[in-house]
Amino acid sequence: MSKITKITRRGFLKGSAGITASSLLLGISVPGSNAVASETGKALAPSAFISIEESGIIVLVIPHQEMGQGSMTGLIQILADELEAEWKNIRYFQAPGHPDYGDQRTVGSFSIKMRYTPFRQAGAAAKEMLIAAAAKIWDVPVAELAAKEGAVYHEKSGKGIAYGRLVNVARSLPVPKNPKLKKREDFNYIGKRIMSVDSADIVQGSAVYGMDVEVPGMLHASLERSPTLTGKILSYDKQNALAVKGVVDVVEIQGNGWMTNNAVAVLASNNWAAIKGRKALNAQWESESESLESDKAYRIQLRELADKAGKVERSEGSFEIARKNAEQVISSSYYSPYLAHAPLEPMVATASVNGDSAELWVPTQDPQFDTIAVAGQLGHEPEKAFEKVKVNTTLVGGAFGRKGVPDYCMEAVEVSKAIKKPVKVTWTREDEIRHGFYRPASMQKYEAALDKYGYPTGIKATSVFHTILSTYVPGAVDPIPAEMGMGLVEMPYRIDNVQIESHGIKSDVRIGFLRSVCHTFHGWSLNNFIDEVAHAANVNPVEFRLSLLGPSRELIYHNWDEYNPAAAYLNYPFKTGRLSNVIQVAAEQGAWGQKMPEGHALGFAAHKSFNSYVAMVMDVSIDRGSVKVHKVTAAVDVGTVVNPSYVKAQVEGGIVFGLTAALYGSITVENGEVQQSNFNDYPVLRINEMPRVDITLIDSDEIPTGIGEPGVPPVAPALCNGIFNLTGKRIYELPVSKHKFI
Amino acid sequence: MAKSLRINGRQYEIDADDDTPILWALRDIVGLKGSKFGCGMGLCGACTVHLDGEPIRSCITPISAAMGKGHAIITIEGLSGEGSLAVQQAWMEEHVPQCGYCQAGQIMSAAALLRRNKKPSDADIDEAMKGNICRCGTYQRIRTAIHRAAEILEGA
Repeated sequence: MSKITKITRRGFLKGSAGITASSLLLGISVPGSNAVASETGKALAPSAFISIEESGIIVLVIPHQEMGQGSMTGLIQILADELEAEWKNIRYFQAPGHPDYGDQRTVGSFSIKMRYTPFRQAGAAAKEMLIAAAAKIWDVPVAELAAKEGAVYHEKSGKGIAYGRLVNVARSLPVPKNPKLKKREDFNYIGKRIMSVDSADIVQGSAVYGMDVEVPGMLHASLERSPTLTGKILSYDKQNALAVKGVVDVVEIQGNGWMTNNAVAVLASNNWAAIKGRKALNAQWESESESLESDKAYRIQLRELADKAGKVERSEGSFEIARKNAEQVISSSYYSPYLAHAPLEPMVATASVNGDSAELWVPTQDPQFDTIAVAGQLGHEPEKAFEKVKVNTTLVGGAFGRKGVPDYCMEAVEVSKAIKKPVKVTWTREDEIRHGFYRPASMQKYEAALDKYGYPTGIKATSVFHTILSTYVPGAVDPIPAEMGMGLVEMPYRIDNVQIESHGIKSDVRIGFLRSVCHTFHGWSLNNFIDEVAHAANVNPVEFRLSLLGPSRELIYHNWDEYNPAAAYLNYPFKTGRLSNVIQVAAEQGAWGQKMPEGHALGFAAHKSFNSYVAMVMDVSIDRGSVKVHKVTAAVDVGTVVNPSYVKAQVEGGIVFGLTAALYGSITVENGEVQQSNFNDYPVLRINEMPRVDITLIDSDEIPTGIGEPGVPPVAPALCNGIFNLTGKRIYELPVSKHKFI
Repeated sequence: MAKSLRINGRQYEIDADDDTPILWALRDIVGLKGSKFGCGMGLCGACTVHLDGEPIRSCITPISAAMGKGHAIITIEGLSGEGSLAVQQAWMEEHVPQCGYCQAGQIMSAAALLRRNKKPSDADIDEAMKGNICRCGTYQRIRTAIHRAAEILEGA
């Protein structure tokens, strides 16, 4: 497969590969998009996903972001497949934030899931128009024609004509409303192992990330931020900073008391000078008048709340009666700490404010939200946002949820406003770790009532954490149904009496989305507790799960679709049979039940998240007091696989992310200040700790579902269940590295 | 006073303090942005370049260590020779990169490893590569790709 080219903004507008008057611009209407079928030669503001040039070049406009999850490539495969495009003639363009592209968030593992059918329709409609054009030119029935590799062929006469030569005629034809989609066996790109479109640039060091943006006349800025959310500056030495070679200015900027902190920005001709100047500030911050959150007290508060009656999220039968009649009652509580994202590219944003308008160049998961937030800063209502603010997107050097909030864009805009020049604000690693939007610290308490056979007749779960809604709504505290749904309220086990409750608890750091969101702590604690119950019942944990799942059922909880419209939630019931299947496949592939070598044990976990099903067997040992993971065997059901290589890559990466969190991940807070700062005190997994990973993908015709996140939730519980099987010690508090093993 | 640095076979005059890390001189002064900033403490390896043939962390190595005659810096943009090309080819064949941000540093470390060890074992790879963090978790494929690059070189 040859390399295909990414078109930069400049090349797109000026280059021959751009959309020109001679191009066929197909604005196929997609759900959630304002784009309508149009034929326009004016393409400065592209409003569609496919453009075919008379030269035969096909420009695909990709609305989502590439941050390592492979969906840029996957989306191109989907469009190109129905279009019967020749790979080498494809050019792609990464769209800026604009409502014409529909929901552009790259979150919730839903880029492929949301676009799969609309993009196939868009590709198929374009192809049908090209075929219809050939039929018109040759005066033959459409039924006698077929498209293949960028051309239309008439088998009877042996004639063929390239797409480019059909553009002029095709432009005048109507856009088919219900194009016919290909059969699975006819796919030529979907399902294939195709190298990601940016790989060649990446290995040569020429891929452009947010960190690499350069705008004429820009200055570099490093920001000394208040260590707490609303701290005020007491003093700083401006002259000392200005004395550093390369430093040109020092400005104070105001935080909005919610998403951004008060800060002092040091402007310089290069980033090193800005960092050095910032150190020279010797900034002092006013200590807060009231005492803020501290780790130890917060944990006690979490535990106390978990013991109290909370808001009822799901209630079936009566857990109280089940408990009264139980032969045995088991109860456990699980604590998960705050986590920071630590994408290898720290936060960075380049902004140029001009009067009441602005242009930005950012690595982002949500260019539309950035646009609206920045427009708000400049005094515009959301309706005006896209006229006044343009957010250009770059390749994203990792994000994991962190780059879905606009704080870093807003800061850059404040600085640019203050100095009336374009500016690039580069965060240090310390800034990124200390000023995050953290996975909330949480506690789950579980109780199970067992009958005399060890079968659970009732289960109660109480989950306590600070809602992620607080990212968007200042002051929000209580978990929302969308969060409680993730991995807990949607618990699929056949148990007659179920009670699930929640509590909110305010934190003094920002809360945000981190890869797999609430599935990380709900998936960990529930899988651990099920394992505990299985052991209490003296049943093999794999058999126990399968018996609790029972015959295949379809479950629908109508409790979080409103927060995640793109998930088309009602189309994706929880199919318990798919979970049972991955459990069986993983157990078989991972040789669950085999006799392990001395000092080794297996752990098991299975979890559905973001409509995908993953089960894992993990081989662990203790090596000089530390837990070592030797092998992870995973079975994964994501429905139709668009690119097996990158689906597996996401599971491999999810395992690394999950192990990092489970083994080491811990952000602690003292008096409102985050205590960690860099990879020395917030370590991440390294290659010498990498287990062998073996993944089986389930062959399926189901619609493709997400894989950016579902690989993460089973990791921590498979690890902890393995540790229990090895040592008899249950892990009730993460991270594992805080525990001593002999 | 301008300082002289030899980078990818070219001479550059740089007007910066002696303590300026090579990384920021490369990125913001010379304009070579392939080497990445990840931690600023030599903990993650994203900034790895070769100084006089050895992999170094350019975020903590000042330009003073590379100034003057006899010193030469090679960055990802200047990698050449069959060993380096084999690494880049293997990286593509094995679909190593996810977000790709760390990969320039990974490739610089891998190229240096293969230069001194033509057939590294998994343990050799882990030892040589453990200073390079990949937050996306591409480690398994990095191991495979280094073995593959060794194979390509053996066949060359």
